[in-house]
Amino acid sequence: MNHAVGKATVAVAGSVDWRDRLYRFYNSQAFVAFLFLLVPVLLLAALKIWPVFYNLYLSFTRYELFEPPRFVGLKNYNYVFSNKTAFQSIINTLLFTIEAVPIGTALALIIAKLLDQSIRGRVFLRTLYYLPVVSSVVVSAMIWRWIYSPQHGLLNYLLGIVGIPPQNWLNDPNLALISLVIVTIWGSIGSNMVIFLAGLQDIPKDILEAARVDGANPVQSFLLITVPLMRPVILFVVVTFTISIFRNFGLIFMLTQGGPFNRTNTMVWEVYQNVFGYLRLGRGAAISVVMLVIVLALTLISFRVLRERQGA
Amino acid sequence: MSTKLSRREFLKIASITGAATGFTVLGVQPIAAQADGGEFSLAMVDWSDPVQAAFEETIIPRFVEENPGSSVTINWTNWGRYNEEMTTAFASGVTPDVFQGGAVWAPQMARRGWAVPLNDFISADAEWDWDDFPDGLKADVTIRGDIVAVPYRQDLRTLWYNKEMLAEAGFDEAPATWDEFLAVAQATTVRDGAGFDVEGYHFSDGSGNWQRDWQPFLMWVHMADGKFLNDDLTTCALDQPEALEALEWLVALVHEHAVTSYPGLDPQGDLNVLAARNAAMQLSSADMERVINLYAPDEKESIYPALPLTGRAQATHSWVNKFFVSSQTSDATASWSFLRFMTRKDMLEVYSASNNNTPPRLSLLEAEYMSEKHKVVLESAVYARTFPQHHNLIALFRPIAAELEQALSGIKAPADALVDATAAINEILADD
Repeated sequence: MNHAVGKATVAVAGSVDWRDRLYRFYNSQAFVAFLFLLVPVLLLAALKIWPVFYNLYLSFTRYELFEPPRFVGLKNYNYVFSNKTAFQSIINTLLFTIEAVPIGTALALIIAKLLDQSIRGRVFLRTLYYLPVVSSVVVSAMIWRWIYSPQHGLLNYLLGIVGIPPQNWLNDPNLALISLVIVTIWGSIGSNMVIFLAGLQDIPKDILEAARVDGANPVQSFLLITVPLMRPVILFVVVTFTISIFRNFGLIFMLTQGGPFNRTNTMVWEVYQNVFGYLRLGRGAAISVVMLVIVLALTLISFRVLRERQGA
Repeated sequence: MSTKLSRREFLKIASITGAATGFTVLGVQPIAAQADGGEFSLAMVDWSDPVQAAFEETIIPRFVEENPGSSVTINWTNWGRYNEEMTTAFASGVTPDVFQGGAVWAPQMARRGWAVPLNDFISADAEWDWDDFPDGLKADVTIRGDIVAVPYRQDLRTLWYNKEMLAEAGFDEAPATWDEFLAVAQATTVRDGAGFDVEGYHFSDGSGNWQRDWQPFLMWVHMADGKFLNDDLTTCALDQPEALEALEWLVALVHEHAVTSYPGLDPQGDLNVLAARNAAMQLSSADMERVINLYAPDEKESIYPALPLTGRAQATHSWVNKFFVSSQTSDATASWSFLRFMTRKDMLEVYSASNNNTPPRLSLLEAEYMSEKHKVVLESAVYARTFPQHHNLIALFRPIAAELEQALSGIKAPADALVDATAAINEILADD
């Protein structure tokens, strides 16, 4: 009997405790904060997280919009790695990344370092380098299409002055990808430069001063002090730049449409072709998943390389 | 003084916001559902200033006049983004009641069930006169017995040439056969070192989308009496001798005879290569005349069309553009009445004249706007072939586009390119 009463007492006390805690939470600022957070969290879940998982589900199906998705196992993944065009899109994307990220990052860092000096026209030059970032990708592509035009282009005109024959920049299979890399680097230097400039402000001036007193020249100071101290920022730029290259659609759409010979057919263009061109949403989803895995792998490698060196 | 939001106020604001969002979402009706009560929506991809003026100043006002209380909303777009727009519109259930589509759209729309079959409407409407449309065009929009669209334009391509250039080279008439064509092309080509001042024949532009080579190649395949797919649409026929003859011929034009460059010369702004006097001959549609009249009036007396060339066959290709009634329209009968109005003889004449389109109605052959040049283009209709009625043509075109680039660049032998293209296309067909 006593035992039973004891249980009831504990139960009532537990219930009171639960209600009391809920009441206190309801009256706290944390509840208001929770409600404020609820909206963006729900939006994030609905617009970002759910589509990722739905995409993963679609990658195992054949789905053409006009009939329900049909489970096909790993067939779409088999397509990604066995179809010549789809597999070439992976190679092209990796080539694009390998060509653009190191050069683009290094150039942005060097320019940021130069524009971090007290030189005349510094603000003007920073603005100039940043201008491509605020330009629409369509406008940029139109300008570069004219620059690259084989017959009437500025680039061939300039090359002609020094006796180099005209090149078919966007239609030559050996030049098309590198032509896109140049435009991509041109378009990204401004934003990467701003990030590097912010990072450079955090480097203690006394270290640079001490190096100078010890006889280090500007190049040594840059390579042996600035670059190592900037590793976290470089890591950030490398990762975000890599992601932006994987997502680079506008330039390809405007300039090459994946050609010539599929040499600029990147993964994102292949997704677009499969989804909107052929209505093969399952294949597009599978390529997206592979793309996600590659980006994650490249990010992890970047973290590892740059962090290890930082530790060393 | 800081203004702090009380819990009660926050909840009130959140409730109002939530309710407003909910009502907004619920209030968003598919455009098609608004077709009731005479409200129509139309997607137009065939955009230009004159077409827009024809619709907004003549065709739509006339429709509203004849159907009091009606209103029409037009979404003007372009080919570059049209496929995505319509695909996402169908996926979201917000398609317009009536929409335009391209040459390969009829089997695709039929397969997806996205177009309302029009047989009953058409058979019950003798006055509108379906028999006024040529048989080839009617066949192009009839999929397994269902009429899924109505043509509004036939994009017939034939040989256009610069009469002055040919005369200077000693030719009084346009070529009619492949051999004559080669002789003219060789005589009119003007080389500048490794490049060209004038291509005797302009095959395709240097830049452009992936269809730039495939489209003219297809016409040469027709002239060689070849096919893209076999008759039952189950295998690709590009590895057959006829298609190989066409590709070997084109490769020879580029590399052996050097009468056309690859990649080809680019247009100069609005001036295509022929209009800019950078070529003596080109396969094109009546749009060539529109371009010359607008942007190169000095060339009006020098550039003319001729009937299609004869290889094994005298043939060309016609890209048939059409109007569909969306399966998502809330009132198919009303939408048909709108489509019917736009494709009525008088309205089609207004539309076709605005853009120098080649009309799909036989009774418009003598329309006032049809110039003598345009009539020659129209004469080509009897030699025109259309696409096979496969629902996945865009996917099938892609392998041949990539292989053509390699063959025309001299990287791959024509036979190998066609065998590889055929294998890739057959793989897609088998997976279908």
